[in-house]
Amino acid sequence: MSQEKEVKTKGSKKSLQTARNTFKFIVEDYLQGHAHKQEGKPVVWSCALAEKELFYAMGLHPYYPENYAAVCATQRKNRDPSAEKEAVRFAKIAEQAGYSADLCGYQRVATGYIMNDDLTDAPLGGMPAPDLMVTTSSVCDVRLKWFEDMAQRLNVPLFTLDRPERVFNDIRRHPMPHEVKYYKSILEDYMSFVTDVTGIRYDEDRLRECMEWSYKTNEVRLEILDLRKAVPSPMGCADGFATMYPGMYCSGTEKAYNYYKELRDEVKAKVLAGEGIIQNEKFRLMWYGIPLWFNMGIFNYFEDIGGVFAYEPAYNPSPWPQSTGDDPLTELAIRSLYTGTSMSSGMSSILEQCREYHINGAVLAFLLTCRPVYLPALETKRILEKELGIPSVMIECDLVDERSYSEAQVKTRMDAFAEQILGQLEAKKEVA
Amino acid sequence: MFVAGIDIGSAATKAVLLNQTEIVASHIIETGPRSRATAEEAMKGILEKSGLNSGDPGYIVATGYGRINVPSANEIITEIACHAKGVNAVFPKARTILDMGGQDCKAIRIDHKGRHVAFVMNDKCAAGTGRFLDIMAQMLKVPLSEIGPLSMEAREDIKISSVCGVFARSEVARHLRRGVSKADILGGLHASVADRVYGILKRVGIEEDFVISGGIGKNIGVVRRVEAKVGLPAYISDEPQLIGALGAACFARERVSQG
Ligand code: SF4
Repeated sequence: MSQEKEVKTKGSKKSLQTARNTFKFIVEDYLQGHAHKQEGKPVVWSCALAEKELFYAMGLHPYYPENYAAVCATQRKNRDPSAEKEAVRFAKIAEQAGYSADLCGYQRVATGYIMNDDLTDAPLGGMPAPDLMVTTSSVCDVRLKWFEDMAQRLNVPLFTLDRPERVFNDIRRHPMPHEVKYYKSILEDYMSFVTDVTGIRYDEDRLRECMEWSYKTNEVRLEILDLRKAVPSPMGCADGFATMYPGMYCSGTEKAYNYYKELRDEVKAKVLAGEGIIQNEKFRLMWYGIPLWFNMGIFNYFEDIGGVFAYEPAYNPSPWPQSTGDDPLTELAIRSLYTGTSMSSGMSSILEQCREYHINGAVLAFLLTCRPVYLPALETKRILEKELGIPSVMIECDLVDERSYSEAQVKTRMDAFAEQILGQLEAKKEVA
Repeated sequence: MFVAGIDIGSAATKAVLLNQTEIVASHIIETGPRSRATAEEAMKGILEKSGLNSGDPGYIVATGYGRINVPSANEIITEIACHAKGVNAVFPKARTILDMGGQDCKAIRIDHKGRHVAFVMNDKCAAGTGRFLDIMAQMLKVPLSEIGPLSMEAREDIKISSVCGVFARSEVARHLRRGVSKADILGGLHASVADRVYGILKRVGIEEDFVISGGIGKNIGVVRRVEAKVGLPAYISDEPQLIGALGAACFARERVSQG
């Protein structure tokens, strides 16, 4: 590499207009929630992998502390460039109260934010105080105790969606009848819980309508993923992560569907025009894990030497089972149980995706504070090299707390990795 | 035409001047608080030693953590690539490198052309680095150059279970209080460093020939223990500390010859 760049923690350069508009989408969603609260309607705080239709169907406006922590990782108080990031300010409050710096940054930031005592003293005017909280047992144990802790601090009722972790080799295996029955009973309990807290009754038609929007949204998102396989890459990780909010957090709404339709059309047009993120694409990378929300500019790091981050497995949709025409709660239970967490099935899909997206190398977020990402990272590294000869490099830090990030160390790893990939491409040419 | 490589590490800065075929001069100094000034001093050092007063080298490649602070550099290349290149120049058959520097430690696998094909770094903590042994040498009041040989005189197998510099200090203090000899304690400390770096080597995959570079290459206590774990003899150049700077200079020579 003849010229080095500074890795300053900074926002990413997005290549799609729809991606650039997403922050506006998020701000509007936050404002709608504030208006909803002011009208005396209930607000829920929840997390990824809780089924979002459950909220919209029950007239709840959802907020997600984890996503809010990611927003805080990009913002400084009053936009003052000399101020520390809001995520750091809140994480410090939690740490001063004794929460370990080894805990997941999402937890520390959200907890510190609550402990700050003024929920409006925060980016986007903060999250309105919740009337209830809903967490899930899926994927990560931190969310169970973290939500319990927040619910106690804010003195609101909490419900846990206890979803069986389906750890077996083929996640496409249809859930067993007893699993469906069990999880459906949990969803029914949830409905009664919301009715008890808010007085709002479960309306099957409303849930069905929300689910229809999610099915349609999922289909369009899958189309986008398919388009992203094109060479040169029309939509990379900077755009991928920037556009995940509507799908992850507003699934079940018409606005999320419309958003992805627009995105799909934009990506399709780029593919048809043969337009890539950069002019001269030489190598394609995968980003494994959650991004470093405080430094999304990392996705543009290799662009001037022809490297693009083309694909990220996180937050992407997977095909859902066909609608069965059952009652919507049964259908939702079946759909949710398709979310498997087995490492071996995760690995085989990563291998498949690396082939489909023509990946030459992988950067692995080695998130020391997040076990569900951290543990499979090691296996991902091993298997990519063994099965596909794809080299990878690990970036160690937290996802929102930039104090865990060492610029000099990351620069050395990233630059050495780029040299390695370019060397490999050169070696391939020599053989050919 | 002369070319130069300069490696600004966190502890020491190394510079090498090359002509078409061989090293003309080399210079090692402590890295000062200002990388720029250190770089200039190191460059001045090789020019003076070479007796050249024909002005600047034709091409300069900078590497190491301070690599972006060398104003006279024509190109910047990472220390991973430079170590790979430098080792390849000295030991063309080498495929695995363990570089143990002052503050970090890295394992690198390379191909026949000296290109790195895999690397693993430990730069998060002092365990397995020169810094760890430095701290321990100070604590035991044994000159740094003597700790390796003294560790080879260990009679008793002392386990230092902590790889963390801070915790290891208290373990060492406990052994001292119990009257354990310095040689035995040093034996335990060197074994713990060897254990740690062996883990890094295993992650990168070990292939023959095996080379150790970096300042710790001069420490017989670490070298012998790593060799025993790896099961291979380690090739070590006369100046293991210079390998990174030499690699940088080799890149510089390549650039000049490619025009
Ligand atoms: S530990 Fe990981 S999976 Fe769990 S909440 Fe934190 S980031 Fe999410």
